[in-house]
Amino acid sequence: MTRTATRWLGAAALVATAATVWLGLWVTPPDRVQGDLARLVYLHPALAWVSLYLAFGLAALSSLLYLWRRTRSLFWDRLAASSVEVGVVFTALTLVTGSIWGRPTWGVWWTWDARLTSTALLLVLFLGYLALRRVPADPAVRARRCAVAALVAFVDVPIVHFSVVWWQTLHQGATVLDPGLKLKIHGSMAWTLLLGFVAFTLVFAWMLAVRYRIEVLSDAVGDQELDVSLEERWAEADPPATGAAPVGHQLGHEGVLSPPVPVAPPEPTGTPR
Amino acid sequence: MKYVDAGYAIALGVLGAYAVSLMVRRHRLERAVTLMGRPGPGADGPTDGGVPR
Repeated sequence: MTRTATRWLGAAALVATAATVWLGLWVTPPDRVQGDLARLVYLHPALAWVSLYLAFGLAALSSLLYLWRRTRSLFWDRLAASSVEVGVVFTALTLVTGSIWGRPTWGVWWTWDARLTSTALLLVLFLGYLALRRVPADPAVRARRCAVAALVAFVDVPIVHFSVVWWQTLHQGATVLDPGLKLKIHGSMAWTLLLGFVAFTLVFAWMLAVRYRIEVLSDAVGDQELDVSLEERWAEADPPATGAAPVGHQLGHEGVLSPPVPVAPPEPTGTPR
Repeated sequence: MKYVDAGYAIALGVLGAYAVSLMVRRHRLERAVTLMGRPGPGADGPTDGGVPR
C-alpha cells in the first residue's frame, strides 16, 4: 500500500470513528431496559469483531500461507506479526470495555464466565506469540515457530465465539443477528452499530498498514546493522591488504552469517614438551 | 453516563495512543534507514516489501 493510500485510509478511519462517537453518544436514543449504558454497544462488539475475526483470523490465514510451501514468503510472516500486535490491543480493549459494561449491569467488574475467560485466554495466547517473536532466531526458524503458535492460539477463537451457546453464561448471546440472521436492533441504533463496525475495521486496516511498514523497516535496519558490525569486526581482525573475511566465517546471502567453517588445527611446530 | 464516558474515553484514548506510537516508530525507523544510507524498502512505492511469489 502506498503512503498516500495509507493516509487516505487513516483519514477515513478518523472520520468514521468520529461519526460513530457522535451518533452513539448524542444522536441515538437510550435503550428501554439499559438506558444510556446501551451506548457501549456501539463500541464493545465492534472492538471484539476486529480482534477475534479480523486480526486473529488474518494472522491465522497468513500463518497457514507461510507454512504452505507453495506460498511461503516472509510477507505472510510479517503480515501475521503485524495483525497479532494490533489484535492484542483490540482484545485488551474488548475486555476493558466489557468489564466497564459488566460492573453496572452484573454488579461485578469480572466474573469467570466462559466468554470472558476464553477471551482472556486468547489475549494471553497471543501475548505469548508476541513474546515468541522476540526470541532471537534465524528469520525462517522464527517465522515457522510463530506460524505454528498463531495457529494453535487461533483454536481459541471458535471457543470464544460459541462459548455463549455451549455453556450457560452470564454474557448475553448474539447481539446483532439472531440465529436466523434477522437483525435484532432497529432504526438509528442499527445504523450506528453498523457504522461502528465499519469505523473500527478502517482503524484496523490503517494500523495494520503502518505496523506492516514498521516490520519491513525493522528487518531492513536489522540487516544493515548486521552488515555494519560485521564490516567493523573484519576491519579489526584483518590486515587491510587482504580484505578477506576472517578465517572461520563467511558472509552468506543477504548479510546473514553462515555457520562457521571448520578451521584446521595448526601444524605441530616440533617444540619439545 | 459515567461508565459509558469511561468506556469511550479509555477505548479512544488507547487507540489514539497506539496510533501515535505506530507513527513515531515508523518515523524513527525511516530516519534510521535514511541515515544508514540506503532508501527503505518501498520508500516511494508499495509498502508490502516482499509480495509472495
